[in-house]
Amino acid sequence: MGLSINDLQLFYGKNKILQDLTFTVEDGEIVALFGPSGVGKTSLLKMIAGIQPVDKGTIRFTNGFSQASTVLVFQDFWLFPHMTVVENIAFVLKARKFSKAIITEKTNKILEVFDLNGLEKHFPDQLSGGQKQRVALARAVVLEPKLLLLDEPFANLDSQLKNSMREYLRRLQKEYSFSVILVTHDRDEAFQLADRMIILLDGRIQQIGAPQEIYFYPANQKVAETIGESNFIPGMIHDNIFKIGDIEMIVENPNQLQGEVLLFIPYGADAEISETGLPAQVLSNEWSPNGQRTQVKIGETNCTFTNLSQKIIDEEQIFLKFNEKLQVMPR
Amino acid sequence: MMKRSSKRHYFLLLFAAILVILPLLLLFLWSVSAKWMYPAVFPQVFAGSVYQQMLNEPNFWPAVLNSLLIAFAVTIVTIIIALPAARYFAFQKRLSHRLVEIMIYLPLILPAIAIITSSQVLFLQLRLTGTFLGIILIHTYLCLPYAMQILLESYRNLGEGYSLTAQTLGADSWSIFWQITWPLLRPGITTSAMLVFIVSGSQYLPTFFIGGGKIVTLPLLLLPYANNGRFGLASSYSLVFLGCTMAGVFILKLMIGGIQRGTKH
Repeated sequence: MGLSINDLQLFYGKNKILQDLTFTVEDGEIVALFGPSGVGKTSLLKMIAGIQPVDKGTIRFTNGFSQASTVLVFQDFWLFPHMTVVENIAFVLKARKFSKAIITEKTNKILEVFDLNGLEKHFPDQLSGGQKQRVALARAVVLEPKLLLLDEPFANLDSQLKNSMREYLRRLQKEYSFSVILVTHDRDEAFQLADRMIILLDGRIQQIGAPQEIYFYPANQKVAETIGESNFIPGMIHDNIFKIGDIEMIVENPNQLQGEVLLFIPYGADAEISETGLPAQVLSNEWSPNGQRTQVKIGETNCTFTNLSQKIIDEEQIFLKFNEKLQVMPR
Repeated sequence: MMKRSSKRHYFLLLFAAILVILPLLLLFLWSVSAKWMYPAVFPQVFAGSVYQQMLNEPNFWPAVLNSLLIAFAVTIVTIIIALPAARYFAFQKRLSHRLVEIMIYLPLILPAIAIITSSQVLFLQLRLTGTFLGIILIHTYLCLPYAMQILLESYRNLGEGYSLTAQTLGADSWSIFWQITWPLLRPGITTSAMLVFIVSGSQYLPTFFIGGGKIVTLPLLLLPYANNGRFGLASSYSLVFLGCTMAGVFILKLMIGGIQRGTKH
């Protein structure tokens, strides 16, 4: 374990913004804090970094982690505008009283790693967005932190750059083996990078889990809606038998619901078209680079699927067989 | 269209230049005229006699030196007080901007004569009357609002991002101030220092009351001549005063430094 947060609370004036925050960050793990803007994610990072007082609760560092080895990189980078790239990177090393030789060695290595050679003498206003991002990361990583806190790190970049920067961060994290807490409201970013996701909604943690777990088995309807790729099909449940019309299927019923419920099927559910199963009427089928996007009608509900394994050819009626157990939620 | 706007620009510039130069020209003419009677448009006799008279005045050089010394000291003390205070007020969240503004302007809102006479009483008890320290203190009090207002705005423009970033990178507050805040705040510091220097240099009443006539500055010599209608001498003193102020402002600018690369404002 590296960082453990226990029952942390955050107030804006008298308003409780965050409550009952309890989670841990393991060594070498990327944790994504996912939630809409304005839920206090940045404040949480500031508290972990020690630049905002903690109202209530505890933040504990163990296993070689400490506040001093925790570095926060802000969304706006905040590169010092009066310093060149090298000076920006060396500033902290100087402030931490490293010798000149070590500073030169460390900055040269980090310039190499971050692909910043040739930009040493450039000022921040001469850099592109991606370059600024790299300098901001380099400035943090040169300190060899145990824990890197990233606040919406790629929000200011265009989508192509975002992808390459994410891969870059992944590689870097493997090489330097630091833990990362990544604050984001970008679902794809969280899915792509995180080992675990923490879903923050309505001021509290709704779910902590691996991206797949969150995607396929969201803890509640709010989480499912925040992820934003949900089909909800109303029906009846009895124990773990879900009934829609005359069709019965075995589902997960973690909350032991009875009576009227919603069957949750994420867009990306792994489904096959077979002879038997859930009957669905094909409405339309669009091609996209990530696969086909199929609109179907199940019972009275319009649903979307993006991961159907076979090609759909305007068949009127199909039957869907799901390879994973589906889950029901309260209505 | 382009041509017309550049022409208008040119006229505006000319107009502004005339507004500045005309009074200066008048001062210069007054100072070099020996005889200038109605209805003559220009002086009838030119002479350098008032300058002779000014230089012969035994208090002239002490007044110049005192003025510069006091203004510099006031500038430094004011900036040292205003920098941390402005920083606090810029980023605190308890008091509203308006209340902070009123607090800052309080020394200027209260009638000067009330402040000066009451502080004279206090300074008498503290044996500060007739001393440089006393004058510097009362000037600082009156200059602080100007410095505070400019530095407050500068801090607000700068925001907390840079210093918070430096802090999370592990820099101590000493290096944050000297390597981040000071260089980025430099334009604001220069402006407020120059303004404080000018305001301090032109103080008459507080210098008169607290100095008790023992410490003479340029405004103290200048004002009686202007009041008595001796415009030649008053003008020559004014020109010297102007020169001193400009020299001081120039030196301050060199000391603090100007806009650096990448500084936005």
